[in-house]
Amino acid sequence: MSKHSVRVAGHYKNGDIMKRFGLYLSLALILFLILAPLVAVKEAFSTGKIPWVIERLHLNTGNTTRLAEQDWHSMQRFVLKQRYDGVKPDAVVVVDADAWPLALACQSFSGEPLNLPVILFDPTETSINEVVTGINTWSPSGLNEFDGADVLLVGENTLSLENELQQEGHSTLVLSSPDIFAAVAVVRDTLLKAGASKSRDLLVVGDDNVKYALPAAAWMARRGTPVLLVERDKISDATRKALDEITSNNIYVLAPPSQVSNSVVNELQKWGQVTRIGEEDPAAHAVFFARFYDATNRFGWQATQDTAEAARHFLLGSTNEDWRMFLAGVQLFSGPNFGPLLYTSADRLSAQTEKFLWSTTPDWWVTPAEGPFNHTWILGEPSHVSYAVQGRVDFIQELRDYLDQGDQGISGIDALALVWFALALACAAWTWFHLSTRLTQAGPFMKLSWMLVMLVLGPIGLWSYYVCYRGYNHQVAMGEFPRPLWVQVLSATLGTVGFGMSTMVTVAFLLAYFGLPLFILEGPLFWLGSPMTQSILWSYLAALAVNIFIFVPLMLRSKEPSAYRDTVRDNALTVFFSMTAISIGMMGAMWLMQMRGLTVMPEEENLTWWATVWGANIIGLITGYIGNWPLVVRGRKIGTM
Amino acid sequence: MNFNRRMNHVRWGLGAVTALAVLLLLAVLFYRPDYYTAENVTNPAPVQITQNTTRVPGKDVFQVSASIAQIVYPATFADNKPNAVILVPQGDWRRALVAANVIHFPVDAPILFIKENEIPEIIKQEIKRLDPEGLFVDGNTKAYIVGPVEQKVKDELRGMKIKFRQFDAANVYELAALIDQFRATINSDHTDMVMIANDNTPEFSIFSASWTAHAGSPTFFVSNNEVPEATKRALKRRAQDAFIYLLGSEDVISAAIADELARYGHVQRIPGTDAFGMSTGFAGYADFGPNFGYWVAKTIRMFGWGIAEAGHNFILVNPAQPEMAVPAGILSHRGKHGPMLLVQENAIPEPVVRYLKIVQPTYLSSQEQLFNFGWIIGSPFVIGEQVQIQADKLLQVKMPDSKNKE
Repeated sequence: MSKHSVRVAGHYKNGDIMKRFGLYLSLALILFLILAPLVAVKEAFSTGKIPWVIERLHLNTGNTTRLAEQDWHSMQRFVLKQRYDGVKPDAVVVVDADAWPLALACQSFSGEPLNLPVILFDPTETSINEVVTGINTWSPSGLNEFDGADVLLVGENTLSLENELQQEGHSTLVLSSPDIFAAVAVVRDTLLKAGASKSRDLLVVGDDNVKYALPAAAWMARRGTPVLLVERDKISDATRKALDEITSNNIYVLAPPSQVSNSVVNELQKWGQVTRIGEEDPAAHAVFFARFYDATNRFGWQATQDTAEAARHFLLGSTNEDWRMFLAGVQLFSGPNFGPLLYTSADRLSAQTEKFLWSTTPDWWVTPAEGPFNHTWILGEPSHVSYAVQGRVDFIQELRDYLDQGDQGISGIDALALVWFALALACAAWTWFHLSTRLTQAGPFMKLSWMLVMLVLGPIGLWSYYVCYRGYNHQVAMGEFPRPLWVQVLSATLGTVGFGMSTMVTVAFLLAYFGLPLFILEGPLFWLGSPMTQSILWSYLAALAVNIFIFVPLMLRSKEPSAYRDTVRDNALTVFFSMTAISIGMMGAMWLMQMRGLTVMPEEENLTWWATVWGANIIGLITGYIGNWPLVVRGRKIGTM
Repeated sequence: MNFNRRMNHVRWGLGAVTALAVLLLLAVLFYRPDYYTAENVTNPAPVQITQNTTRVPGKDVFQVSASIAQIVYPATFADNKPNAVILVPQGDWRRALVAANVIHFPVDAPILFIKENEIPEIIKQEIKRLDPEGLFVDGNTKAYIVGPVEQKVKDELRGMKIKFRQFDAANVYELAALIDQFRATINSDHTDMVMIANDNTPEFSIFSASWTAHAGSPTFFVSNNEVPEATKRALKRRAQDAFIYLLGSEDVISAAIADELARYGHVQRIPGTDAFGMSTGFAGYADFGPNFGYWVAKTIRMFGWGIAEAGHNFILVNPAQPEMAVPAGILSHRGKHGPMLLVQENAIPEPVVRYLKIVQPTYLSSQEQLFNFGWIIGSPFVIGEQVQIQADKLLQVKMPDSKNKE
């Protein structure tokens, strides 16, 4: 406390107590205006309490469906029933469930134009009887391209089915080779013969890690694009031979350099145009493919902002999931529903996938009924992909208002609010240092008032400070120094703004935080009971009281050596006018923005709430300025700031 | 005076502030909020899902209402929880329809059925799971009771530390007016677009719940031969003439009643001769135009789904179980907002089939596609499995030259 302020204390009875109270109150206001907006940050991150056990009657949500199967056998049963019940396919493909490259390659049979069911078969675990009965039910007609066969047996392990099927009157075609590269090449040949992929698109994957190859499955199930297999550093002879058959392929290598080396990619260029699609992180890899698009060949999902008018289906499984689960599940996407495959960790949504999902979530412009609506299919029971991940995916996929981007998204308004807040803090800090070092004569309440001005008005406060003091330097402390009328009015307005606006903001926030009052009234004045009216009423009254009874007397007592009661009486009407002028603009603007401008009235824990408050403060300054003009002109008020 | 000398005064202070700001920024950048604490979820019985539909199961209205809330609010972290719950004593579908007017923002709450004398265990469980946040515009209220309940229910809520507000009135007309006034109080304005239903014809009324939940327009009741006083009072409260939409043909809401209602505003009928046809008529209906205001602050009138193209969601309910249908309105409030359509237990009636064929998507490309989706409300005893499968076929994308033969 400066000597100056100590010297003048004592005009009022109990002046010191009041002064102390005023100091604490204004410090509290400053602290509040700095910390309260951070509640929005805290709320954006806080996750709340969750019951230990969550009881549910089903596991589906608005934007997700869980394929709640415990293993790939039941998944396969479920998906085949969904896709092919009541459908009569031309043929059925049975593939060895021990060789992922073969099982993957066969997914192209399920895509266009063949749309054949593809059954994963494990001789030790899959019931032969079930497979045969299933095929009998479909009674496939046979395809000329398969030499009339109606069942395709792919891989050596499936041979155990041959006798059984032939006894049931099925004609089988066996595709097999001890060399996995050759076997995959045979599948591709068969596909080409059957007319698949006339576009000459070709996928190439590495033989080492199935995780990097699996995202291809969803695309193959839709478009029937064939696949070939290469080693990390080498193209095997069988693959070479297959490549030789067509020399101008559109080759898409779905593998990062750790899976298929650059030299192999370079070598592949002999057989056509090569594009690598690959990331080292599996989740990022799947996302990369989901976003990829080659407009020349219309290859890739193009799940980007370029196709924001489209709805999207996603198949989401755990990175550690059994690949058979994926291949059994992905056939759900071989028909009228389709979309990219995505990875996540089992109990936490992978960062890359989360970011991607945020970016694909549709915004609505006119009404949230306009769509489009995204939908994610969760692969497996909650032990495979946790319920918490599902909840997060559901939340992220929820259609958002373009203007305010929902509860967690940062909209343009929110970003501006953040920047504004940072600037306000910087302005307050700078002003504090400037007042402490350059304008040491200013009394403590003057200083605190300026702090509050900065916090409620940000850079506009700083500009006002500059305008008020520029060129007057040390005369300021004397009170009466020559300023043009418009600056005097500004100074007078700020005198009410500092404590008044900050009190209004504080009260409005606290009321919202603890729940606004609401009274249901009848008659034309029913709106007096509305929470917004209540909030405005109480914050206005609080600001009025604080200014009239505390801060104005405290600020004036160094200049007007009259008794406290006289100061209050003399200034009450002036403060009332000034405060009301400010409130009309501030509260009016807040009302219009919160009740009319935004789709949903923002809560105090949202940055959007602060954006409307800071915006409203500026409007309040303008109306306050207009209201203060006649007061200053008539000598009712002087600019003390 | 040079810059360095000026800076001398503030160097340390500004340095400290800058350091604090940077620290805060880093904390925000590197902090990973844990949205994944919802670990232990029970493994419920499987429900029938198809590629384009999901069944919302439940063997009675209590379970179905909880099931619906579980679709809309996963409640795995603070932001996917509701603000409150709406507790409706079971036994009168009209009460539920009136309660649907509480759902819309800023309340954001699902309807859960209770008994007049107790809260069933499944609903208690669901309230605990939802853990409502409290509605900030109404003193952080966490539950709204719509209708009469015994003291025991209130005690149970207090025991659960759920702050509640009860709406109770002499009859359902008054109840509708009361909740209308509650909504108007929140907004400091009455919505000018209202619906009128005959309180004897649930099949013509229940599908309005989805629009009420989506847009916040209330439904008021008339009886067969008169407009009740409470409904008149509610209509009169509007600052200007209301826009009144009648849910029923002339044999449901008579011409005389329509004529009387015309004193309170502009009356229009939702198209459709039977209830099924009217549910699709409503889904296709749109009335746009001026409402109120001046060029600086105009409000437009936008009533009706107006959906005649692909890319939407539909809620399929059986009007034979009106109390099961109404809580499903909330499915139009979050998630895939879309209209409610009526089906029978064993069949999709012809008008609904015709409508779904109009809005059925056709295949566009692998990159840009629109999909339809449907919710099936209730157990297979309410809407049969075959109806779900038929609905699935009507909702799915029409593929070109598919080799799949039906």
